[in-house]
Order: sequence, then structure tokens, then C-alpha cells
Amino acid sequence: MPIGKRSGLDMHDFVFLRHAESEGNAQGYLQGQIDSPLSERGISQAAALAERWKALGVTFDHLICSPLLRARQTASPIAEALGMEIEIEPLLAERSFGELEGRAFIDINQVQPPIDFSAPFVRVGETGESQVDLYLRACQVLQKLVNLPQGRYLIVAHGSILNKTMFAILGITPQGHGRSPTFHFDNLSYAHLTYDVASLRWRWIGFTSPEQWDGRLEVK
Amino acid sequence: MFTPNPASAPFYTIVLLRHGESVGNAEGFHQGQVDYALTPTGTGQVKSLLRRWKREAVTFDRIIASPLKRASQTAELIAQALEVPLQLDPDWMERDVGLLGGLRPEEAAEVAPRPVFMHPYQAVGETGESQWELYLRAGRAVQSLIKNPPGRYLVVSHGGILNLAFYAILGIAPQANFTGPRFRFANTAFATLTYRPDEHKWAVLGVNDHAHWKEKRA
Repeated sequence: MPIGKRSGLDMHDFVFLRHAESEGNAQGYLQGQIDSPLSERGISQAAALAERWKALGVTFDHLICSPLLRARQTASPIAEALGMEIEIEPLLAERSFGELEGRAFIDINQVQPPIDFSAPFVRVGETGESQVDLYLRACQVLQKLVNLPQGRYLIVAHGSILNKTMFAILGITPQGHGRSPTFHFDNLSYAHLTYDVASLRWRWIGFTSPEQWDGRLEVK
Repeated sequence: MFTPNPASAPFYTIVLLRHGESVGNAEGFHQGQVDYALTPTGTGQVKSLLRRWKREAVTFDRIIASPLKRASQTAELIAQALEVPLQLDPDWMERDVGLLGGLRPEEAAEVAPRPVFMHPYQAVGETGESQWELYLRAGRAVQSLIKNPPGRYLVVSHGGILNLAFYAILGIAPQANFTGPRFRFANTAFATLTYRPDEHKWAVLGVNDHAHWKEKRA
């Protein structure tokens, strides 16, 4: 099913999009809830996606976005191209990494003993969110989304919160020591899922990275 | 996204592919383990996929396929074109749907009407495999796959069992009334995963990728 193109929609149709490349991504530091703008590359990635969706006639009923700058800057050209307002949802912010935010990955990877980012109940960076904190926030996101009327929604957010949103949808809970599965959201990767209230069923329609869209463009 | 331990240890890349369009798909039969061949459209879908994979220089160490024709024919075309060894494993066959196999939906509704409530241990089509039986078989199929050394593997199989393989991999248990999540696999669509045995870490990289052809929908 092409995204955002069904008519007479009798279900919830969600596209969960990760933001384009940010300065933090490009420079290799841990962002979390620090506001890092899109890089030059990220700005053109977001503009290209907006143009692409406009050209394909993709539409959404609502665009819901994380309050963080890199997500808002990704949503902005899309909202403009598709003629939509941006709704900010604070629950969609990235995981808080506490005191680790703003530090380079190279430094973080040298800390001994290694930092366990996936321990279910440990607040990462002293004051940050544990996996379970994040999972519970993702469950709140999901409850809010399903409370909305049936329709097509574009959700623009971040890798960690989107991973836990997928957990909440699929019925997976966080496990310790990195053992939980990961859904690999590259910059501008998106997951497309539908929820049918009548059958209580989630359907995972697609999960693609920008590389795959390029392939699709070549193929026509 | 942040990866705490960029692993350099050998890992698995696993591509789960659904077969091309079969006669059963085209004519709307319940298939299960009834053995339908590919249609010309199905063969065309496989060829489109092969053109794409050749352009992307995709290769595999081994192909593992269901012995049912619609999957084994899909796998043979790929094995020949990419020059990869092919192995058949009956654990990757589609669900046995019992009395429903080979029936059209309207016939199925008469022969073996779906109960209002189905617990996950209940046989599909009265004599077929329950959701739990399919889940256990999918778990065994994944276990056999990981007994191979790390490398690039293509599994050519079917929508039902591939869904339960996802359950086994991600840690989702079968539910009553088939209410668990459903991973869509269009004909010749594939999911891409990696598995790092040193960390027991699965990653999902793509779902229902069929960029090589457009899905036709009514």
C-alpha cells in the first residue's frame, strides 16, 4: 500500500519518520534532548523528501512532531510542501541521556567500565531515562495516537523513542544488556504501520531507508 | 542512532523473501501446503528482483528455501542467476491449513467456517497447524539457520511462516484470534535483518521491500 494514499480510510495509518542528518549526527556526539539543528546535508535531505512526497501525491491528515529542533526542521519543508500544520507532541522527544548529552561517541566508548545503555532500569547518565522510562513514554505516545480519529498521520521523531514505539506496538518489552532487538532507523528511514480498531490488529506495511527510495526512483 | 559497541565480530545478514505470485495467489485459493507453481507474473517479479539485486551487487552465501513449488521455483531462479548454493528445508514450508487447502474463500466458509473465537493452540482448518505449532516450527527453522556459520543467507518462504519467524526473532508470542501484529510480505517482498551472535543482537533493517515492482491493489 503506498503511504498516505488510501481513500475512505477506516483505520489508523501511521508513518513514523526519523529526522534528517543533524549537526550532532554529522559530528558524532550524543544528542538526546539537546537541540542540534540539521546539518547542510540534513537540510537538503529533508527538502528532497518533501519534494518527493509532493511529486508522488502523498497526503497526511496530520503531522505530529517532536519538539526538538532537528525533528521540527525535518517536518517543516514537508509541512510546507504538503500544506499541513505541524503539531508538537512533547512525548515524542528523544531519550534523555542525562549528563552524557553533548559528549562525543569516541569519548563515551572509552569510558570504563563500559556504559550500559540498555539496562532496563538504570537511568543513563545519572539523570537520564532508563529503557523502561523510555518504553513507558512510548506507550503513552501510542495510546495518544490511537485515541485520535482514524486517519493518516505522519510522526516525525528520533531513533530511540521510535524504537520503543515499535516495541509498544509489537508487544516487546526492554531486556537487559543490549539483548532486545533494534529497528535500524537511518536518517529519514520510516516505518509504515496501520492499526485496525475492529480486529485489534497492527499491520507492518513497510520499513525503508533512503537508500531503498533511491533504488525505487531508478526502477520507476 | 547510537550503537554502544560497534561489533567487528562475524555476524549474520538474513534476508527473508516471500515467493513470487503463484497460481493459488492469482486465483484466490487458500494455499497452505497445497503445491501451486509460479504464474508468469510471479516469474516476472522474481526477474525484476534479480535485475535489482544484480545492479546492487547483492550476493548470498547460501539460499534456504521451502520445498513448495512457489518458493522453490523462486529460489531456483535466484540460485541460478546469482550462482549461490540452494538448500531446501521443509521447516520453511507454509502453514498446513488443513481442510482449507485448495479452497476458495466462499468454499472455505462452508467446509470449515472460522470459529468466533480461536485460541492459539487450535488447529486451523480443523486438521491443520495452530498458531503455536507454526510458531514452534518457525523457531526451529530460525535455530537451524543460525547453526550455519555467520554469513549472508537468503530464506525463500511464505507469508504465514515468515510472520511467525519474525515473532520468534523479536520475542512476540502467538495470540488468540490471530490478533498479534502482522508483517506484510507482498509477492517477492523481503525483510532484511542482521544477527550478532556475540551479543545476541537482532536488528531489523527493512520490511516488505518490493521496490523492484509496484504492488497492484484493488
